[in-house]
Amino acid sequence: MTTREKAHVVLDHLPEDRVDAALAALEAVEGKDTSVEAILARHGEERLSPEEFDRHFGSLPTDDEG
Amino acid sequence: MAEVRSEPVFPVGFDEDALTEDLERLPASAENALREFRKELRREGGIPKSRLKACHDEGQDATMLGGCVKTYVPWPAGRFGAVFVAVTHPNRPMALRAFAFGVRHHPQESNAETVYEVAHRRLAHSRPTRD
Repeated sequence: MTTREKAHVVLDHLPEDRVDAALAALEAVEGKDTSVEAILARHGEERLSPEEFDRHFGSLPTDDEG
Repeated sequence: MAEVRSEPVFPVGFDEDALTEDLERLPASAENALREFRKELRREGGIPKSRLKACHDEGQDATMLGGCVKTYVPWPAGRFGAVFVAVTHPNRPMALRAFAFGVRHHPQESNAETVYEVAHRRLAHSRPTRD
């Protein structure tokens, strides 16, 4: 098991009330994670399902960038 | 009398950590544009659907932002842009989470990332298939 895998296991087994403190400690070491996954986790959010996304945004126009 | 909305308006949330990272590499004009944009959002209660565009699954710039939406800042043809994912939360209505803010286009000789490249990187780092 790699150190990273071990870290995941430790985090997965932490009681809920200690997760925030553990994350704060990690961020202090590594800096803030700005991946979308981390951003959504910080805000307690999940991405909309593709079906729901299409229902709300399927008709949006596009452009020639991004 | 209550105002009647003619189109959907989506609440928008920002991530201050991502914004801080973005603003560090942007000119001061970006901060002003963002401030005005956030004021507009507060005034309107979110972003109207007519100010959104769909991102491409595979863009001409090699970014892959399928399932994301974007807007120009300021609207309708500003130099800056914001990229969002649509999100759900157990206790809040469906909303858009802004996860990248920056310049839409750089001069060809520039090595700086566009807002779409930043968004691609942040999205790609979330995918379990990475590496």
